[in-house]
Amino acid sequence: MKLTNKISVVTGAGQGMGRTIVQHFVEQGATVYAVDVNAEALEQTVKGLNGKAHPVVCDITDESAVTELMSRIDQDHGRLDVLVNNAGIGSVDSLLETPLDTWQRVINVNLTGAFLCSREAVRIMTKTGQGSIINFSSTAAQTGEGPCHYVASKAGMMGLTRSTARELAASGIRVNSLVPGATDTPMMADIPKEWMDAMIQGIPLGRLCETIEIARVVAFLGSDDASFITGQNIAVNGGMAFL
Amino acid sequence: MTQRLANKVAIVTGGGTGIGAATATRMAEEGATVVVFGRREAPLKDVVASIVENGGKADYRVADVSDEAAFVSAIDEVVSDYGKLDIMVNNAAAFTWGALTEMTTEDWHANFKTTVDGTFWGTRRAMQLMQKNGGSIVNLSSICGVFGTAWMSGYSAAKAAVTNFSRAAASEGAAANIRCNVVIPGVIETDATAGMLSDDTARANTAKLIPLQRVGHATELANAVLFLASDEASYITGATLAVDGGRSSDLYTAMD
Repeated sequence: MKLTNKISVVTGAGQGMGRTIVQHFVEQGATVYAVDVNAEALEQTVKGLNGKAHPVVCDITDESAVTELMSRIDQDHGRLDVLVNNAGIGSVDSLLETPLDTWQRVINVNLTGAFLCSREAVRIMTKTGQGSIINFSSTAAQTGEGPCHYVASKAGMMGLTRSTARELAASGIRVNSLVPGATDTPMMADIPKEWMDAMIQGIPLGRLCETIEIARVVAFLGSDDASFITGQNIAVNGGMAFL
Repeated sequence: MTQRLANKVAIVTGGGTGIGAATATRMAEEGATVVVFGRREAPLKDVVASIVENGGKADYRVADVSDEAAFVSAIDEVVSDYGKLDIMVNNAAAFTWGALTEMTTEDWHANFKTTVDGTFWGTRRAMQLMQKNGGSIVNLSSICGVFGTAWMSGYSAAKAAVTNFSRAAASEGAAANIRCNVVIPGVIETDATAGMLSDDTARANTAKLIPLQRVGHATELANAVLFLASDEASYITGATLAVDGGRSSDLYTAMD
């Protein structure tokens, strides 16, 4: 088991990649705080995980809620080993039809939430002089294929990763971006079939990514196997883009 | 001991020392049958003996990757002896050092013959053999292939070629579920870097430019190669994975 006794936080744990990451982390021996705004979805995520995954209803854009969550982990364990900033939202909007509040909402959840979780997690990680943060970017951040708010937020994640990787390396904390391609998640369900077919045609491996294939990469980056890897973009995209 | 590579047959070129030996060792620990390739028999024998002593399965072939016929027939021998090839790690490389203005054409070609031609031959043969059942190819580039490095122009150019060649190979291999990825080592403690790390000042200066403030261990490289080679990386192809302590993530300014 790669993550034996690692104390972990996974945001956006109510569905898709987040849910699978929580389940895979528990399989690999971790204790996981599964964070989402949707309590019912979290219950589904942690079902059958024998108390190794703690559901935490928390809005990561709410500074005091994030602070409270991290304080609780600090009190319970005195350490935090892995933070997975996975929570993300998106919608299909053209630039001219993007209201300011949509822009702000996407940036808030996708980028500001990761910033707040990172800042509060690092307060704990610096105490033990070790930790691994995995930020979810997107292939769209590189290719530009997507709505302005989403692409900007995901490009922002690469910047957040590089800056914090550099700042925190001396404290023994590693930070990397996972850059997924087209992955089979509920977020993709609304995409029209013709778009989906065209998208799959552009993927050399000829299929969407399964969430478990993302989860395994997150586990690797969170584990001590990746002890010399920091500040990187890790592409998991079936060959659709070369980063 | 977990079995992340159970039933896999793997070839690791340049497997007698350094990153190659560490990769072979880790792969055998995870259940693979590993065949190490190299020019010198003695270190290959040592690696195999140490793997077997620890309960792993290993074999070796004396083969120079810059000799097409010998290299390809050694790969074919592995397939006829072990039935298949699942993992190909093209790690062997040549290295020359010196000012560009003094560099001979022979030195230039030596870099390309081993590092680029060897990687091409290994990748081509592996892709031919993996057409039916898929497979995973991991090619070793270098941080010198990302940045141009003074006194290492031949090495820098050859390693950059490995990276982009591997991307093209990934595109072509994907339809047959053959994944091809690149690992980009930073400064790793091996026989090859012993010179530059030989005294404390040199080591401290090197470490200063690495965000994690230390050089890497061969096992840390091996773990990354192992990961990409394994089914855990089933959706990763055409990717580059830097294992460099953060050295290539940005312009790093060392501050006292």
